[in-house]
Amino acid sequence: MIRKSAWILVFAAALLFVGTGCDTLVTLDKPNVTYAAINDGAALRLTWGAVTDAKEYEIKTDDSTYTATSSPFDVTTPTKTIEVRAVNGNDKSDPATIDCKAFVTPSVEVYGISDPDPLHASGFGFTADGTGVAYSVTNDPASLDFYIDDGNFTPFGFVNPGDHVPPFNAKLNTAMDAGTTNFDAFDMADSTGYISQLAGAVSGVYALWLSTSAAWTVNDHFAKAKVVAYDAGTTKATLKFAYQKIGGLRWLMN
Amino acid sequence: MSHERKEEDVRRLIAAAAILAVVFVLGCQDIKKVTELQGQVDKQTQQITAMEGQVAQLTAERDSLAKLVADFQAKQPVKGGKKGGTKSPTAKGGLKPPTKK
Repeated sequence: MIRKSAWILVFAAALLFVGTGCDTLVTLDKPNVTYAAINDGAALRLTWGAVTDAKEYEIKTDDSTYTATSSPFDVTTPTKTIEVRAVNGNDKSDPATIDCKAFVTPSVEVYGISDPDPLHASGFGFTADGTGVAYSVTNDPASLDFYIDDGNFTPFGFVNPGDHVPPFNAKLNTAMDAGTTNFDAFDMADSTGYISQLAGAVSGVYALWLSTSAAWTVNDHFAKAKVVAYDAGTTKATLKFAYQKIGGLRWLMN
Repeated sequence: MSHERKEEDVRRLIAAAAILAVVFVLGCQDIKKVTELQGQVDKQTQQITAMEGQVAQLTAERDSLAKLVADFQAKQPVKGGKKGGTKSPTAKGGLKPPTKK
């Protein structure tokens, strides 16, 4: 009798071990994810190598969670952050995280090109980390992405430096009116409808397509600008920017 | 004889007095006119003084602006840096036809 009870106990313990203990033995590596903009910048394609023991992969955006059995995977809705995990049953790897936020520069002051003060920059551009910077059209022509033209536009316009005669540089940057005054809500730049010389207005929000070619490439960058203030007397424009660091991607969430 | 001579003297005296009165009246009118003209001269002198002040002020402003322009022109070649620099020689600037995408 005692011997029978012992066997039952051993069998129950074995069942408990198989039912709970085996799962914890799987260790999953973090996926090595690379990414690139596709579809003229509308989507981001994620690519990764297979992770040992992974049965599927979880892709998490700001407001959705997707499952994929293999690479690649395309995220088609703007999001600030993407996390990719390898999954096996209840086990998940650490996430590979992709920062898709547009980098915000709260305030940049530039002056119309008719302003004679040598300390007043008339152009602006973006550094590699996405910071908006005021640049002199004379001393930093190569860094210019746009300049403020208060002579050919009323009250002013955003003009591609390559359009100036003589050109300040060889860029083919263009802009378009976002049709809103809500900077934060404008989360994706359009793919068409841009022009290299665009009149600006106070409170206006504008999409900026920074490029050196006529057609879209992954080397392009997109940004948005808001005219916070403009003083017609001094020609000073106060601008706010958000810059997408991922090449070619038109997402502008900040 | 003595009586007639006295009457003759009185007549001459009256005639002289009359002539003096006429001269006096005419003289007073000239003095009045001179006073008026002097007033006009004074007024115009004041206007000239005021205008001379304005000329001096405008001249000072012109000189100040000329100095400012000279300073800017002198600074042009040496200013630099992110926020430095001068504007294009053609402030308004010519533009090529805009490009659409």
